[in-house]
Amino acid sequence: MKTKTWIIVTAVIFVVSGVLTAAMFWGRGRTAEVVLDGRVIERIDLDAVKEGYSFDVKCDGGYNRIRVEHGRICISDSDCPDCVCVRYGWLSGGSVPIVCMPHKLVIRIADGDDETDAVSGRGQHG
Amino acid sequence: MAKRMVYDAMLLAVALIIFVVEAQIPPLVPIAGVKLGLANIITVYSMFRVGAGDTLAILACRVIIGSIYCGQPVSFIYSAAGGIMCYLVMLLMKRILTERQIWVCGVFGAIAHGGGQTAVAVVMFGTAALSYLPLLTLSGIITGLFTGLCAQYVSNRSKYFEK
Repeated sequence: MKTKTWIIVTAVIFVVSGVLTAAMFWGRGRTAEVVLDGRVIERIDLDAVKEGYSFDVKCDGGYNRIRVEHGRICISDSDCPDCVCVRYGWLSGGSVPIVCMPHKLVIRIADGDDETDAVSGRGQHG
Repeated sequence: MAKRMVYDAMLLAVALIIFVVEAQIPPLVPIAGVKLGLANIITVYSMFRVGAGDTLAILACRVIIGSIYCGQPVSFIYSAAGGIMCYLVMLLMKRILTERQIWVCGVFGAIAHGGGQTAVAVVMFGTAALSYLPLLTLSGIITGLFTGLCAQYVSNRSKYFEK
């Protein structure tokens, strides 16, 4: 076969696998989990959110107001002493969760299934 | 015969050095299975320059000794499966490629390497690991192109050091 043929074959496989890779990983791990004292109390598919909304989570001795918009989530208000959680700002991806230590509240992006974690060698959540 | 053995041993030594040095480089992409695979240069080169049988010996020795030098038992299984797949595909490619198309062998060898690794992952973790195949194919084409071209250029100049 001619060299040109091989270049075309390689390019085609490249594009196809590129599209498949994008399809596999696009929009994955975009589910936010709200964890209170170690238990998941809310799961929100961030990509499915059309209009932003807020809700309050009651915790030991206080509350956290959680704001959800398309593709992102944050703690907009809290009566905890340090307000580190509010200052974190928006969470839309990555492995660093929003943490409110005084209220034992964590918001994290769920990472698909645990098998993926084992293969990719990444640690467990948190 | 003795000369051929020395030449094979030299290729194995080069492959091992590349393998060990590459293991010291921190991974560019934090995904298991995605790496340059520079030692593949030697596999591609020897496939076209010293023959299929010798290549199998060099590849097997490199995978085994390389795993002893650096790596865990798990990485040996991945390496071995990838290496076998890679070898079989290269064996096939050797029949249809000309001297100037050696780089194609690198590309398809690397793709097959990813395929072999995915097969092991499927056995160990279930079919969910299949979702890694497109990603490994993608990286295989890029790294395979690089290693293939390296082998191509070395091969183009082989008349200067081969007698």
